[in-house]
Amino acid sequence: MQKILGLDFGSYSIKALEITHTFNAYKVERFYEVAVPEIEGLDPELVEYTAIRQLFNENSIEVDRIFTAMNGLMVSTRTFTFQNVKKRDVPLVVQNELETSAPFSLEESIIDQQILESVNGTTNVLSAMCRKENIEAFLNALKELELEPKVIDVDYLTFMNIMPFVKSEGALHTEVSEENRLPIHDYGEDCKLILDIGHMKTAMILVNNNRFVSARTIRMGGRYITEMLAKGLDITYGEAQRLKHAVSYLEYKPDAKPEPGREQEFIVAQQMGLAATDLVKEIIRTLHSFKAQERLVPSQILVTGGTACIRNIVPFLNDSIELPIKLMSFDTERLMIEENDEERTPILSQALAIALRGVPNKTQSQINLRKGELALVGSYDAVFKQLSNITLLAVGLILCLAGSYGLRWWLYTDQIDALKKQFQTEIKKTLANEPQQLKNIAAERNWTLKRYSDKAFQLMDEDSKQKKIAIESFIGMKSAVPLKVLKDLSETVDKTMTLDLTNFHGRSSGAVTIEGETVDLAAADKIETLVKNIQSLQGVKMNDPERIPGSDKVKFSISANIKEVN
Amino acid sequence: MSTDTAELQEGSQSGIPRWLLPVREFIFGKQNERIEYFMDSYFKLPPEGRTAVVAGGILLAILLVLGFIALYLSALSGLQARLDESFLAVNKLRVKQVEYAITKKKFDELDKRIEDATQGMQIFSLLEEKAKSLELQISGNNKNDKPSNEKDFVRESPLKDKYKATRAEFRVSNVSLRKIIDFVVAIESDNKKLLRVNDLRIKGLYQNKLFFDASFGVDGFESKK
Repeated sequence: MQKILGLDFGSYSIKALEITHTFNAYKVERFYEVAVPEIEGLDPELVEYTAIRQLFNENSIEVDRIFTAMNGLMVSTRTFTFQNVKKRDVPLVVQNELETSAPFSLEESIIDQQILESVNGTTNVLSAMCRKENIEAFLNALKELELEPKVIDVDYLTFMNIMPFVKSEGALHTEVSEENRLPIHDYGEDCKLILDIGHMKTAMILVNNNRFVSARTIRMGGRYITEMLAKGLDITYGEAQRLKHAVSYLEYKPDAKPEPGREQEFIVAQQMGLAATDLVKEIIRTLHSFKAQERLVPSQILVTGGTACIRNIVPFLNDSIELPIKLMSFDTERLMIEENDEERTPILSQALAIALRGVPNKTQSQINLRKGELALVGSYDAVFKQLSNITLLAVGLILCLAGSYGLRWWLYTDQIDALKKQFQTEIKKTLANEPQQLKNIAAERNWTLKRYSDKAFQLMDEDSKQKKIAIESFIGMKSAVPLKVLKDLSETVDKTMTLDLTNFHGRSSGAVTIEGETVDLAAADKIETLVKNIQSLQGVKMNDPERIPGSDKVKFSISANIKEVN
Repeated sequence: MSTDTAELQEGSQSGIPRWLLPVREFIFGKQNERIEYFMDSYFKLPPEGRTAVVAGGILLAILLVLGFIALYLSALSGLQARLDESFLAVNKLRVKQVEYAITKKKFDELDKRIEDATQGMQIFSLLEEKAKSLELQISGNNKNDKPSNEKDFVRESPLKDKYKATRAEFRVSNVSLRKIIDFVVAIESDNKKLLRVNDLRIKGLYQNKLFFDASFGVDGFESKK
């Protein structure tokens, strides 16, 4: 879980706020505040340095990222509206614009810009410009405390980061006539003013539909009230401050009466009310300026800052400015703040706004004055080392496997080639020659022995089969078939019988014809019976025997088929 | 200090070999801007997104490793299969060679036998010689190829290019049945010449029951060369 620290270097106190990201919300884990006392004869920078050192020494703060912001009084911010300027050209165009109007030279400055909106060729750009030496001094001071902020924003711009987490009071539309509207300000937009009343200054940030429009800083805040209190009561600044903190109440109604026994407090509150009236005048003047320049009047004013903790200040502002005013509060479902910190919301809001720069947000400030030569170059050597070790391990593993495969491939291929040669030699020896079909396969690139052998076996089988058939056919050839019939006939017919053979025909087709003469019809019948019993003959058939004219003898004719013929 | 020396020192200080510095610069960016961008983008993701990225990365790495190992094993298995197939083919050839050699030997013997039978053979001279030994006279000699409608093993065997079957026809007149049978036996008993009487016609003579006219059809082989 990433821990983000927002550091707010206020003129009254230094605040540090730690946020983390939980499942579906952000949580304020810790909030630290250390006051920067005003000690006569001591360099304020040294006091500030000591204060922040105290803050870090007293609290074991361990975070992943640090975000901070420059005092808005040291930064010049402006908004520009450009027509048909490509995004990539925006920095150049902004630089050109600032060249003529910048309060100090560009070479000695750090400039950053943010595109606020880009609609139909109209680009609204926010630029921030700060003297390089101020940022360098700021960074050097932090470096001595071993703090390396990733981003240096501008304090009042960071309130853009907080807007999505501010508790919504429903739509409060700005009443702006159509002719007064700027092209990028559409109907239904929600215009608000953030009023951050600090110690030395009061920042007024005009926000339209959660987008930055303009900002002004009034050099008047809690300190002014203290000073006026000291002046009014003719006491020292220190005493006035103690009284202000002790009373922490503002009375502005002319007809108000003090509670019995609290007359002293009432006087202090009245003095504070008088001082606050000066601040209100400045605020109203600035609101008129916004109305004139931006054509926007906020529908709501959200008050925050340490001075906003003074009781009765919100009703006072409400009555004086005549706009809906409330203390800034947050949507606790999205931004969890512990109960004891919740009471200090106005004090921690600036630090919170700075810390929220580190969370995803579409409308947040993107200004970073820590850029160019002052940019944070984080050391990722450890990451790179781990990464390179893992990569080397992976590459080593891959190389080992590849090497092992290569070696095996070489050995196996060598062996397979030897087997191929051996097979071919054996085939040539067996078949007396390598058949053309096998030659064709062997002529192919990357031929496999399986394919070659399958074909070889097929050819061998076919050849073998033909030869076997030829041999079996030769063996099956019968000898002397007609002679066998004659032999069987002579053995079958009794010697006492009279049989004169007149015609015999034994054909290679197996058909046999026997014609003969005998003494009488009974003898002919007997001959027929005998011939039918000859094993080598089948289908024996005798035609009707007939007496030979002019003779006592009978002639007959027998036809048959030899059973086994070649 | 020159840039190279600075880089060398930077490299040695961080413990990263010098040759890896350009790689680091390529991956992370000159001022780590790429890794910063990646880290920022990662941390800007919602928790589910981060879990998905980590889980996806681990899964991808596991899949890559397993995939590579599977590829390696598959390639090895392929090699082994090819080698096994080759050994099997050679072994099968050896078995088949024995069987084939036996058949071939028998076939070669058959070829030799037919070759011996046909070598320099003049069928009618031979038949006349045999007839003469039995005091017979043959006539009407006629020789043709064996009819195509009759069985002929040569025609359907690998020997068809070397040999053909022939049929010799002739007559013998006025001979006893015994002489006819003796003549048939004489023709067929000569194993070397492979002659066979396939057509025999015996016709009795009028008024003479003991003598016959006989027609013979004798099949044999002849070399095509």
